[in-house]
Amino acid sequence: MSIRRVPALVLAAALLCCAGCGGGEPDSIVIRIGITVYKGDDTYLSNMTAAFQESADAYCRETGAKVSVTVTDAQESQATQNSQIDRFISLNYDVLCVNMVDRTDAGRVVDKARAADVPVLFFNREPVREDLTSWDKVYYVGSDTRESAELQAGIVLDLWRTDPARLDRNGDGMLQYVMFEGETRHQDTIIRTEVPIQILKDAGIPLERLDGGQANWSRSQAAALAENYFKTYGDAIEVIFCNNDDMALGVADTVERLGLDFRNIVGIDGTPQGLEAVDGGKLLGTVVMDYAAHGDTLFHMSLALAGGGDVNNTAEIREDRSVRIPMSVHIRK
Amino acid sequence: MGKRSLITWLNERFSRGSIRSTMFASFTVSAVVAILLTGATLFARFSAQMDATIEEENQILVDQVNQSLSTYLRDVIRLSDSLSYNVIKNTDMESERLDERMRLLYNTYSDYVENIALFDSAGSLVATAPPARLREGADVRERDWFRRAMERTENIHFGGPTVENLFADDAYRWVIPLSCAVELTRGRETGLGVLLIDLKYQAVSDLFSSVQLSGNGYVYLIDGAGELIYHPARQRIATGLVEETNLDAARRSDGVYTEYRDGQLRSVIVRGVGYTGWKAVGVVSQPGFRLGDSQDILFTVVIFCAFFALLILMNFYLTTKITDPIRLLEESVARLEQSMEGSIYVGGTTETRTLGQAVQKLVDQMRKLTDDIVREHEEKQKSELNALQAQINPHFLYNTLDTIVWMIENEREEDAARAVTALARFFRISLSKGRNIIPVRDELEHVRNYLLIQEMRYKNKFRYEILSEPAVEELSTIKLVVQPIVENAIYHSMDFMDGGDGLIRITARLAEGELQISVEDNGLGMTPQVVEGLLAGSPAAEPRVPGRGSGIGLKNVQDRIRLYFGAQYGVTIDSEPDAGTLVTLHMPTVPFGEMEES
Amino acid sequence: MRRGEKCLLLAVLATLMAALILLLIQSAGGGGAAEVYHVSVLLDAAESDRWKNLRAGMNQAALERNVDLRFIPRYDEGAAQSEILRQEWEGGADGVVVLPTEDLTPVLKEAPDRLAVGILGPRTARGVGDCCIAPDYAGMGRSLAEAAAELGSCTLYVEEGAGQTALELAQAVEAGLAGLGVPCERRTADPADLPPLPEHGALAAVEPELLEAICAVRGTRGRAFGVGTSDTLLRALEEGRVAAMVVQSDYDMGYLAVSQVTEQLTRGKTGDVTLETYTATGENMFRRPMADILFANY
Repeated sequence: MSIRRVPALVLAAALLCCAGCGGGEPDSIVIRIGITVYKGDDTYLSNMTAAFQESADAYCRETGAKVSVTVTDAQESQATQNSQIDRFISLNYDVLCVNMVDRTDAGRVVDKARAADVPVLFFNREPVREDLTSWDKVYYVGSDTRESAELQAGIVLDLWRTDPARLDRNGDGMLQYVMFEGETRHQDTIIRTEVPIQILKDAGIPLERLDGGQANWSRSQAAALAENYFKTYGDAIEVIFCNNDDMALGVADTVERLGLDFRNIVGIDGTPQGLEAVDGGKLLGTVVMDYAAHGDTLFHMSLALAGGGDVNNTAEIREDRSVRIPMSVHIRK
Repeated sequence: MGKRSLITWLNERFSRGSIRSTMFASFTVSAVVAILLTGATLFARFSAQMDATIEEENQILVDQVNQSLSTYLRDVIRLSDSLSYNVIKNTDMESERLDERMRLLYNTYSDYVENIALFDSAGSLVATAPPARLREGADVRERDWFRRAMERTENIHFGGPTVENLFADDAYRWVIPLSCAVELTRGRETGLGVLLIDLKYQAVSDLFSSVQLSGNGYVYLIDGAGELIYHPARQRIATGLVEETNLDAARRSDGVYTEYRDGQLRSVIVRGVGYTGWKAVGVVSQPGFRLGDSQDILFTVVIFCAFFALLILMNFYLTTKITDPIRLLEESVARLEQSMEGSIYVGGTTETRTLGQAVQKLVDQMRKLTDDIVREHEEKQKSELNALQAQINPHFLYNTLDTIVWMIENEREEDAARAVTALARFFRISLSKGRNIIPVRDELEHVRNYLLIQEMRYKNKFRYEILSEPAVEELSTIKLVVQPIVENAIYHSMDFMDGGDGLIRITARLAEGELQISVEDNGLGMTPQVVEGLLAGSPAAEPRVPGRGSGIGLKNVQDRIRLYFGAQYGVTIDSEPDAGTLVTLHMPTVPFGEMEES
Repeated sequence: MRRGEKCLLLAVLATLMAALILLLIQSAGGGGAAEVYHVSVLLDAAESDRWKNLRAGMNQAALERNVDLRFIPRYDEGAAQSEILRQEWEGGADGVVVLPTEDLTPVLKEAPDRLAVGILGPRTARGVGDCCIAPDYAGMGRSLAEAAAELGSCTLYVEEGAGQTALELAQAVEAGLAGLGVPCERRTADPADLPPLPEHGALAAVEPELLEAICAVRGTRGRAFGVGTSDTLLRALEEGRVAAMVVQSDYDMGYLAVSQVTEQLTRGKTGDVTLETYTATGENMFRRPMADILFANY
C-alpha cells in the first residue's frame, strides 16, 4: 500500500506548487494597434491619424485581415499618456504608436514597452537619440525638421528674388519679420525658428527681427499674439514666419478680423486647412508634410512590427532608427 | 444521549481501545486542534495586522496626495506672489510690456497653469500669458473671482472648478481660478487690478486619480462648503447616478471615520488642505483584508487536506513502529498461555524488546522448573515402585524353606540342595546388587529359578518352558518383571489344573521392534473385565489369595515399565475364559549397559 | 493499515485532489477576473466632437470593467452600418454599442447569441439588442416644447431621411406644443442648403447639424431651440444664438452603455435604461451641475 501511495504524494506536491501559478490567455487573431497623440485637436495629428486609419481600412479590405486601431488623446498630460500606454500594454496590444507629450520622458515608455515586448513607434515628437537606440524595436517616424525649415525659407527666398516688392513693403531693402514659435520643448521649434532665418541671411537678405513669441502651435494663441503685434507694429511687419500651419492660420484669422490686407504669412505642415488658406490667398505658402504618407508609413511599420515581419521592407529607415517623410512646397499659383 | 454519557462513551472508547486506535485518535485530534487553533489565531492576528497596515497605508496615501496638492497650491501662491510683487507692482504699464515677463513665469508653471491674466479694476485685460484674446462680451466684473478679489484685497482666493469661457479659445476647459488683487501702476497713478491664475483642473484630477487606495478605494476633494472639486465619479454624481457623502465629510475635522453605506462599512479618511479650507477625503471599503475569494478558500482546503493526509501517514508509520511490536509480543504471550509452545517475540522499540526478553527469560525458567518437578516426580515414583517390587515375599520364602526342610527330612538331599541353590540364585538376582536394570539373561535365570522351586512344590501340576532368542539375552530389562506374571499364572491358573496338563511357556524375543517377553499359560483364562481390572489395578479384579502371591501385581510391572521406558511400552494381556492367558511385556530393545540406571 | 484509516486517508486525498484540480482550472482559465472583453462602438461620426462626453463615459466604464473599447472611427462612403456591424462580430468582438443610423433589425437578428448588443437609442423591436440606453424622448420633446412655447409659435425642422430617433423626438415636440396650445409646423430641411427661415417664432431642430446650420443664419438669435450638443452649439448657447437645448448626460449614456453590455457578457442578462433629460440655457450652462453634464470631458 505504501508503495502505491508514493507517486500520488509526488503528484500532489507537484500540483500544489503549480497552484500558485496562473495560466495564459489565448491569442487573438486581431492585430491591435494603440495610438496616443499628445493633443487631440492638433490639426496635423488628426489628419495624420485619419490617414493611418484609412490605410488600415484599405489593408483590411485587401487582405481580409483584422486590424484594430485605437486612438487616444493624452490631453497634453504626460501622466494621462502614461496611463494610456499602460492600458494598451495590459490589454495585450501588439504595437504602440506614441506621440510623446514630454519628449524627454520617452525612456520610461521604452522601458515599459521593452518589459512587455511591445514594439514602439514614436512619431512627430522626437525623443532623444539615446532613447531611440536603447532597444531594437523602437523607431521614430517624423519630418526632417531641417528640411522643412529650409523649404520654408525657400518660399520667402524665391519670392524675394522674383518679386521683392511684395515682401519689402516699406522699400528699405530690409525684411522686417515676426516669428511665431511653437512649444519651447519641441525639437522642431528651435530648428524651424533659427534655420529659415539663417538661410535667408546666408542668401544675403538683410533681416530685421521686429518681434517674436511663442504661440505653442496653437491657432488661438497665435491669433491673440498677432493682434498684439499688429497693434504694436502695424504696417512695419513685412513677413510673418510661423513654425506651423495652425499658427499661420491664427495669424490669418486676426488679419481677417482686423480687416487688414496682409498675406505674407508662411507656415509648415500642409494641413488641408493650411492648403486651403494658401489657395485662398490668405497665406503665402506652406511646406507640405505628406501626412498621408506619414500615416501610411506609420501603419505599415506598425503592421510589420506587430506581425513579426521585417520592418526594413516597409520604409527607408535611417541609421538613427528614424524615418523621415517626404515634403514639398505649396504656394499659390 | 446525554452529555454525560457521551463523554463517558468517548472516554471508554478512548481508554479501552487498542493502543493503535487510541494513539491515532489522540494524535489526530491534538494535531487537528493545534492546526485549527494556530491557523485561526494566526489568521486573526495576521488579518488584524493587515487591516491595520492597510489602513495606515491608506492614510499615508491620502496624506501624500494632500501634500502634493499643498505643494501645487503653494507653488501657485508663490507664482501669484511673484507676479504681484516682482512683475506687476513695479512695472509701469504705460511704458513697459508685462506680457513677456508673465510669459516667462507661465512657461515655468505651464504644467499646471492654464492661463494667467491681469485685469484692471474696470475689467479690461491688461496682460495675459500665453497669448489670448478675451471673448467678445465677456465681462469679468461679474465673475465671482473678480468680485471676491476686489472685496478682500489682502487674500488670495481659490474658486471652485469652472469651465473657463473668458478667452476666445476653441475649447472649453475646466480650471480652478485663483485670484488676488494687485497694484497696477499706470504712469504716476496706481490702482487696483485683479490677477487671475487659472489652474489646470487636469493637474488636480491627474494627481487624485493616480492614487490607488486598497481595493476600490479612491480619494476626492471638496471645498470648505462640501462641494465636490474632484471626484472620480463627478459626472455621475451630477446626474444622480452615484451618491457620495461629501457634505458629511465637510463637517468632519481631520481624522478617520467609519460610515455605513450601501450595505457596506467604509473607512473615511479626512485631511484638510492648507490655506484653502479644502479637504481631501479618502474612502476605502472595509474590511481591507479578507479571504473572500473562492481561490483562497480552495487553497486553504488544499493545504488543510495535504496536512491532514500527511498526518495520517505519519501516524500510520509511527503506530507501525511502536504498536505492532507490542501487538506481536502480546500475541506470542497469548499463544504461549494456550499451548506452552513457541517463543516470545522480541523486537520493536527498546522497551518492547526488553519486555520481550524478560518474558522470554521467565518462560524459560518456568519451563525448566516444570521439567524439574516432573523429573523429581518420576524419580519418586520409580523409587516407590522399585521399593515395592524389591519387597521380599515372605510367604514364598516360608513355603520354600518348608519344602526344603521336608526334602531334607525325607532324605531327598539332592532336591534340597537344588532348591537351596535355586533360592539363593533367585534372591541374588532379586537384589542384583541394587541395580534395577539387568540383562534379559539374568531375568530369565531369575524366573527359571523361581519356576524350579515352584515346580518342586507343585509337583507335576505343570510344566514350564523358557524360550529365548540369543539376540535378546543381552538386552536390558527391568528386573523382577517376569516373575510376578508367572506367579499370577501359577496361582490363578495352574492351581486349578489337573493331571499335569498345565503349561507355562515364557518366551523372550524381538518383535515389532520391541523386546517382548511373554508368559503363556493354558489355564482358566480371564474375562475381559478382569483383564481390564488387572491392568487398572483395582482390588476387586484381583482376588487376593491369602497366603499366596507376591501381592505386587501386574500393575506394578506395567507402571515400572512405563516409568522407565515410556508410555508406549507396557503389558498386554490376551485372555479368554477357558482358553488360557498370554501376557506380553513390551520393552524397548536397549542393549545392556546402555541404559541408565535412573 | 486498518480499513478505517485507509478509508479516511483516501477520503482526505480525494478532497485534496478535487480542490487542487478546481484551483488549477480556475487559475488556468484566466481566473475569471482577468477576462478582457472586446467591445466595438459604432457611432455616426465618431471623430466629431459631439461625442466627447460619450466617449469619456465609455472610457471610464471600460477602465473600471477591464474592457478593451474600440471606436470605429469612420465608415467608408457607402458602407452601411449593418455591414460594419457584421464585420465587427466576425472580427471577434464580444459586444457592440451602436448608435443606429439605419434600421439594424435585420442584421441584429443574424447576430450570434454570444454578442452583447447595446443600442444608444429607443427600443425598436423586442429581442433586438440586449439593452437600449436612451433618454425619455417624450419627456425631451415636452421640455423642448415648454422652452419654445414662450415664443408663441414654432417651426420644427427635420432632416430628409431622418432616423427613428429624430422622428420620435419630432413627434414628441409636436405633441408637447399641441398640448400647450402652441401652433407648430413641421418642415424638412437640409443643413447644407437651408430654406429661408421664418422671421418670428421659435425655430426648433431635433438634429444637431440642422440646429448648427440654423443658428448660423442671421436673425435667428435667441430663437433657436434644439436637442443634443456639440462644441459649436455650446458656443452658440453661450453667445445666446441658441436659446435653449434639451440634453441628456452623454457621459452617463456612454458609461451605462458599456456597463450594461459588460453586464450582459458577464451575467447573461441586462435591461434597458432611460436617462434623465435637462434643459440647458445660457444662464445655467456654466453652473454646476449643468456644467458637469455639458462639459463632462476633462
